[in-house]
Parts: sequence; structure tokens; C-alpha cells
Amino acid sequence: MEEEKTLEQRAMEAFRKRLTRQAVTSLQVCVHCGQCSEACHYYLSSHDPTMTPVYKMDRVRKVYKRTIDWLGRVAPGWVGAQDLDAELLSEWVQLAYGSCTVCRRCMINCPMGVDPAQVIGLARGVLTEIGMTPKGLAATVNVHLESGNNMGVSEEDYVETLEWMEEELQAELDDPRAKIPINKKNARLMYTFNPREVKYFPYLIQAAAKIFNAAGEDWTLSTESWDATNYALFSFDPGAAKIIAGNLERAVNHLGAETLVMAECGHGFRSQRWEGENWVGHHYPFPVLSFVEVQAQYIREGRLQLDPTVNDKRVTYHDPCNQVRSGGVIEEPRYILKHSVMDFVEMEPHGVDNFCCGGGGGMLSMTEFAKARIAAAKIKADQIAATEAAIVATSCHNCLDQLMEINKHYKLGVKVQNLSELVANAIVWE
Amino acid sequence: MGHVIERLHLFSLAFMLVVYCIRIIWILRFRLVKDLARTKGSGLTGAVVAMTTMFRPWSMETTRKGFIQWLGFAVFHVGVAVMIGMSFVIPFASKWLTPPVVTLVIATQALALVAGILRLVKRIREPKMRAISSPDDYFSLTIVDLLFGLCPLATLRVPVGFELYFLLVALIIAYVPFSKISHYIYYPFARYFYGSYLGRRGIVR
Repeated sequence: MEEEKTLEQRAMEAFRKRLTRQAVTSLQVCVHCGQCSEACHYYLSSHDPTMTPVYKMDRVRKVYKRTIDWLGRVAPGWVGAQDLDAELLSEWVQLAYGSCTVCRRCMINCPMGVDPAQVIGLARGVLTEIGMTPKGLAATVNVHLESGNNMGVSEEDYVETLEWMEEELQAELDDPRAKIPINKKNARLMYTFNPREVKYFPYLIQAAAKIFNAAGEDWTLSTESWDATNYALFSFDPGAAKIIAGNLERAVNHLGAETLVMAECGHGFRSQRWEGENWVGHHYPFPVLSFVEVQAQYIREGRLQLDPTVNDKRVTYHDPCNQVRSGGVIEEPRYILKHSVMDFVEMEPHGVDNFCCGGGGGMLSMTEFAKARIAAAKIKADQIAATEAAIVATSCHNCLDQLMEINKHYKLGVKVQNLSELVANAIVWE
Repeated sequence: MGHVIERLHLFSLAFMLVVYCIRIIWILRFRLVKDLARTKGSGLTGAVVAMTTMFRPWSMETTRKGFIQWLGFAVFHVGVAVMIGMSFVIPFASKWLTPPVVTLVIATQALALVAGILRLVKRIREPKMRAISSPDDYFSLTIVDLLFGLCPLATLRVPVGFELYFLLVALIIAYVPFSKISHYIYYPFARYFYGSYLGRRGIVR
């Protein structure tokens, strides 16, 4: 009978399996220059030497050095190599899940091209494989796999909410032709939601519907699969991520839609647009766009007439990490805001250099790390306060929630809104 | 003595070359993750931009804000190039060592030594640097700093300094493939992966 493997043995197997050429390059090339420390919101907010990206990455690198690297295997002490044991695994949970939002700001500031997020992802993936993922995050993924969306919204509740929003929309516009189409075959676009919109923010469904109706779009929603999120991106679980991404792909194919449009959800967009095809192992037969890109396209093509004077308060924009540093949606939100608000002001730094709000990496689902998450957001709070803006716009639900918490904690006195809210508010109905 | 040094130098170089080739084959044996996503930009453009980032300190926030640190990096690495280059010039092309060249060598090594010592001081003094430093980090930096000091002596053929320089160069050449100094072997791979990632996603154009 085969002897049962220890936790450490299983972790080491998972570790070796996940060593790709890209990951090994990052692990080999780091020279410990420490330059990444100035890029990390955790380090800048605390100045704790154990909060630098290189330190966190190095706790994973120690195992690599001990087991893979030539010199580390012979003289571990010389290169700081260490065996993987239960204590180090517990430390990985704290560092990889509790002190890093995998925002990749350190990556773009590394002179060597190291991607610490990839190494942190390696640790997260190992922890997931041996059942050490923080419970909140694991539960979010499991609920998605079991119910088709991460909040367990039933199909009945979903459809009811959509019908309610359609009635509201028709009443507000005084137009019975305004529709929220469900399961329409061969539409040009299939749109998705974050379940939070269905459960807590239905007015965002209405905002999206207003935009599609005003643009005269041929669109639809699906009841088969509609959740834009994919928290398996954060637990680095390619098996679960594949199932979730595959669900959406199948829904688009069944309805025969030409394009899949992801709601304003940073990680959801990145998951389906940039990682999904790698998870499912083939090309989708349709393109995937962010709702941000679609809104910018409507404005560019003159399909939306906007009156920015209705949004007369000062607005600043927070770039979601997964959208800007891992998704390439950089100019579109700025283009949208320049056409839909009167006073748009950038926070500094912004765009690719923007600081993470602290809500990335699935952090909001892991309540045990909440205190550190809010403390690390001091940088973001200072950035927002410096703009003197009344509204912080963003295009991600995790950012939205985190920004709301920061607003309360640091008493910023701002309103946090999605881009689509501002756009929908500025629409001139003919 | 000259022949011994030449032979030692050539042996170290041959050893380094063989180990480097093995290193490259070794890294190529790890699974390459291919990106199936539709591109938004050019991976090649991204890779080219990434390869040249360090020559454009204004393009990265940390070098933009830490320009002095970047200058130290530049001086240090120019110093390394000259210091290694001199291990070929002295034994094999000594006719190039005209007074202006010698002055230039001494100047680059002196500046690099200052930059190297500052790096070492930073690594020892700053808690965040101490927390990530291994003996290899200290040793590699110390030996390179020593070579900055010895290279001008070898160029001027000062006894003892000359022999020590070549002995240390031989040592470092043999040690490099196993130490952090080998980062330059992986640098093109890392920058390529990083740049093509950003380029394909339309983040760098």
C-alpha cells in the first residue's frame, strides 16, 4: 500500500509542477536590489521590511533555491535557501494571501523584469492545491462552481431582478420599447454582471441597460451563465478557473452572440479576456471586450449623446490593477470621463503607475486580512485626498467596495461610482 | 607568471562558457507558458521597449524618482564592463593601453568603486535590504568592489595588485554562473517575457 504523503511532500509536488520557464526566470534573475519596495502600497504604508515585494517573493524563492537551484542545493545557507515545512507554508498564507494584492506595480518597476506576482501566484497555487487557501476565498470559488455565480443567486431571483429593472427603466424613460433582453438568439453582444449588481446594486444593471438602449445596441443577457467574476484567478486554481471561464464561453456559443462584454469588473475582465483562453486551452470563437471599451466605442462612434454638465462635480479616476496593468484598458476610461463629466482630474500617479486600492487579489473575500488591507490603503487615501475630487470613479467592483471602505475609514467625504453610472446620467435622450 | 595568468584566465573563461551553455539549456527545459489570448498590441514591440527600459530612466517610476540610484547603477555596470574587459586587454592587447585609455580605466573604476561601496553600505545599513540579503549578496558585491580597486593597479602593472586582480577575475568568472552575478544571463529572458506580456496586452505601445 502506498504511504500517505505529508503536507510538505504534497506542497513540494505542487511547487515543482508549477515551475514554468517564466517563473524560473523571475526566480533566477532577481538581484535583491530592493527597488520594488518603493512600488508596493503595503511597504509604503508601513515601512515594515517584511512587506517589500522582494521579501515576500524571497520566502518562496528560498524553497526554489533549496530544491532546484544548483548552489542552493549544495550550500543552502550561502544563498538563503530553506526547506519547505509547515511553518513556512503558514508564512506563505500570510504573505501571499494576506500581504499582497498581486497588483503587479512592483513588476513594472523592476529593472530586471521580475514578476513577483507570478511567484506569489505560485505560492497561492500550491496553498490552494494542499487546501490552505483562506476560507473566504475558497468558499467564493466553491459557491461559483456549485451555483454558477459567486453569490449563489438563483435563476429565479436573477430573472426577477432583471424584469424589475426593465420596468423601472421603462418608467424612468417613459418608453415601453426600452428593454433588458434575456436569452435573445444571435444578438451582437452578450453582457455579463457581477452578482453584487444583481444582489445589492441593481441600479448598475439599469445604468448598463440605459447605455445599451441609448446606443441602439443589439444585446442580450444569458440565464445559462452570466457571472463576470472568476475568483479562481486569485486562488491560482487553473482547474476551477477553466470551468468558470468555460461556462461563459458556452453561454455565448449557445446564444450565438458575436461578442462577449464583461461588466465593469477588473479581475472578471482580465480572467475572461486575457487568461480564459489559456485556461480552456483553445481560442474562443468570439472576441471579449470590457464594458469600458464598449462605452468608449459608443462615444467615439457618436452612438451616445452626452451632456457632461449634469456631472458638474470634480471627478477623479481609480485605475483597477487588473484592467490597467494586466488588461491594457488605459485610455478608454479617460476618454469616457472627458466626455461625460465637467471636471475630470487625474490622481498622481495614474494609469499603469496607479497604486492598488488594496482590494485586489481577492482581498475582500478574506476578512482575516481586513485590518492590514485598510492600513495599506493609506497611499490610495492620500492620492484621492490630493485631487480634491467629490467623486471617485472606477470600473471594478472590488475597487468600488474597497474605495467605499477607505472613504469611510479615512473620512475622505467622496462618492464612489462606476463609470457607467456617470455615463448613464449624462445621456441625452432624443 | 604571465603565461600562468593567461592560462588560468582562459581556463576560467572556458569553464564559465560551458556552465552558461548548460544553464541556458537547463532553463529551456522548463515548460514555456504560451499565451492563447487575442493580442491587443505587439509582443515584439513590448519586448524591444522592455530591453531598453534601463537606458531610459524617465520611463520607470522608481528610476524617475531615484535618479541618483539609477546613476549609481549605470556607473557600477560600466565599471564592471571595463573591469572584465581589461582582463582581456591587459594580457592580449596591451598596445591599446595608451595614457588616455589608462586614465579612462582608472576613472571608471574609481567611480564604480564609490558606487559599489555605497551599494554595500546600503545593503548593510537599511533594514529592508538586510532582510533580503544572503551571504552571496554580500560576497558578490564585495568581490566586485575589490576588483574595481585592483583593476587600475593591474592596468599600471603594479606588482601584487596585478597578480591579485587576475586571480580574483579567474575566481569570479568561475563563481559567476552559480551566484547572483549570473543575473545578466537571465536578464534577456526576463525582459523578453515581461515586455512581450505588456506588449501583447497593449500596455506598452
